Amino acid sequence: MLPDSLDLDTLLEDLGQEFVLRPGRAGLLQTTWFDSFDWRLYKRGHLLCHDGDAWRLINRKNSRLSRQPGDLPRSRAVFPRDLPPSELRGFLESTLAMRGLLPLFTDSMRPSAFAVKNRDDKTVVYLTVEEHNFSPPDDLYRVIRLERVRGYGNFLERLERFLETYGVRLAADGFSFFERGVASRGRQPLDYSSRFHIDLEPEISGHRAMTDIYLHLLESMRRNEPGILEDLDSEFLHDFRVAVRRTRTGLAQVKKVLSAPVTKEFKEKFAWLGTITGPTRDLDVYLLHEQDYRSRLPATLHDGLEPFFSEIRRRRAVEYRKLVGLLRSEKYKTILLSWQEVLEKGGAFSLGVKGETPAMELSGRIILRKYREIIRAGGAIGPRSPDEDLHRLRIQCKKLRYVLEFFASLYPDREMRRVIKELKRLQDNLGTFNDLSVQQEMLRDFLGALRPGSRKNQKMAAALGGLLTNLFHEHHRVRQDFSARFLEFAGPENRVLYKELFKVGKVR
Amino acid sequence: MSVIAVYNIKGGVGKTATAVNLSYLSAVGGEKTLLCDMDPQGSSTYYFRIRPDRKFNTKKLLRGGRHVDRSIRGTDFPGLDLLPADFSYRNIDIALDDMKKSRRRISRVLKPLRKEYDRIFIDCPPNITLLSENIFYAADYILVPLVPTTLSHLALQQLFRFLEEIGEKRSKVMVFFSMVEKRKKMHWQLMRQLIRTKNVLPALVPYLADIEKMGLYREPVNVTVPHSMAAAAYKDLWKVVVKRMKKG
Repeated sequence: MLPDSLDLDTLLEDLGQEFVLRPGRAGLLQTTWFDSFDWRLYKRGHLLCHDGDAWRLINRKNSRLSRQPGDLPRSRAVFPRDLPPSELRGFLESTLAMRGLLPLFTDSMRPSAFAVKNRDDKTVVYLTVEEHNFSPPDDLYRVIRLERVRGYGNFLERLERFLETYGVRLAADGFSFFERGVASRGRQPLDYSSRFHIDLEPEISGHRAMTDIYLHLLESMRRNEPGILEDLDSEFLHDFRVAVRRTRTGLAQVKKVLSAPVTKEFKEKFAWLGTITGPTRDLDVYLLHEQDYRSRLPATLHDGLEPFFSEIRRRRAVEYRKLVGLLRSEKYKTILLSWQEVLEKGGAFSLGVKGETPAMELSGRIILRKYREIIRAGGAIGPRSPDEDLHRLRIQCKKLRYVLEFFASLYPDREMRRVIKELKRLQDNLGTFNDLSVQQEMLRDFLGALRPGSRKNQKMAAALGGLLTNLFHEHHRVRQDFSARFLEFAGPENRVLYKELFKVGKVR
Repeated sequence: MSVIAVYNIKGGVGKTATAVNLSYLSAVGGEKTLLCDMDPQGSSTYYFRIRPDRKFNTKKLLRGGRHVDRSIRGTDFPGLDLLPADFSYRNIDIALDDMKKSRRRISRVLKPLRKEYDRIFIDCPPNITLLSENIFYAADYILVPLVPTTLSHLALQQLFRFLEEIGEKRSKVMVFFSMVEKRKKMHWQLMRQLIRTKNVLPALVPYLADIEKMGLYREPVNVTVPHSMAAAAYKDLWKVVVKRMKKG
């Protein structure tokens, strides 16, 4: 990293006095850098860019580069499936899952390369001055990159010492420009994650804690909104809905922290937000299953899926248009604005009767209550119980999970992680079970509405029938797993853990 | 991953030029390549402007591991490293003879390097010794530059016999014609006679001034004179070698 004030020509001249420099290639490299909204590549230590002709994936840990020729698709978000099949695409598919790649910034880089030579005219270090320009705004960032030649480390050290005397700071690695480029567009790496995390003060009051939590969730809705309106990928809407659901769980479970009228008003308003975003999300889920459905069917039935999915896409387009209209409506904007106002300036008006109770006490009670409810409800479920009982249990688990995550920072980290892990195992089972029920129901409805006669519908019916059978078997399997999973969750170890952690009045 | 030994019993047949130019082309092709200079004369080392490590010698080579690792030098070309020769290699047979499993020593030294590199070239000294035996054992292919003369032909027969004796497969051997002089009728006759042999590659490198001059420029010909006949000849040869290796 070069100080802004340093004159490059002077530095190079002085370097030339001390070392033998052979100028190499200069040039211009224009790259656009990508990641998913939630930094899935960055989190795994990878950087991705497109250089005009090809994709370049850099593993930051070992600076390994893989390059895959291919055009840059013109869409606003790029999905791995838009790339030609390759190892790189495979990596992106597994790392990004359903998330799309969004452009972060564009970098025009002018490298001037030099080879540093010894007395035999042998190259001992490669030195490259890189001038990065992020546009817009014009933000110049200069880096000197030194590349060692194996077996000539002593020269590298000499050069580094020399550069230090000129105030050149050594970057952690050769890609420090990336953070700078991201910052030039007002973002920070890892500035968004769909996982909920908030740090609460240990002695915080219930009102203060819930206000912080609600504001955090409101922020999450706001951050996801543009991605929904631009329809970048399915997860913006998903994360938006999760934030809405968490808010609703807060309002319903952490009672009397906000005043009764406020609670009532916003319970209704957020219920409305849940309702209007539902249909699009449901259809998104089917579309996300496209590959999965294909793999569940023999190739001979694949033809029948085409018209099915194009119908789903058509329905989704209709629902999505409705959703966009609603998200642009005054009603929607007023909900978020008035909620923010209540949270930031509500004061005494919003304070409920239990607002002053410590969050620790409130949360312990709620968590234990929820936990006992689940134990009771789950224990009553036998092999002949209706599916609805499992669905209700799933919702209860979800609520417990949200409450645990709200207050996680008040409890010891290690135990909390164990509590959540145990719950998650049960939730995974219930979640899969529910997904399969919903899917079968939808397919049955779809099948029921098909008019017989056409060849196309016949093929579709065959495909849907095949799918139904396949899903049914899995559904059955997952249902059978339930009791084992539940017994684990309800086991004595977990019971003790909950009691120890959440018992109110216990001195820690 | 493959290990290619460039070998001929006779010296002065274009062996080092072959090792230097082909390892360069291998690296250019995107394969991480190591050239091991096992010839005590150290010509390959010299061509890449590298000075041998003063702390490196036969003993360290045969110990392998980090002793070898530390002595590897990067060349001026990305993806191409070199293990420099040492003058002490001239007595390497004596050192080998004193060791257990003396025939597999080099193979053991190369083992960790096989993981690091996509391809390893060995520039071999011109003789049949315990070291050659070691190298034949370690190598997946033995590339033999052959000057098309009667005596060379005899040397090739000798090599085949030797391989048979030590239980190595003849199919490891790839022969190509080196230092071919167009005007010499005998060269043509011998080549016509040999080209039908299974191990002979359909490629030849002529006798060219640009190759002779490598000692002056100390670079592969594909760097100094990339559009020359010499550069083209090595490119051709490399293509043929790669194709043969793919066939297995």
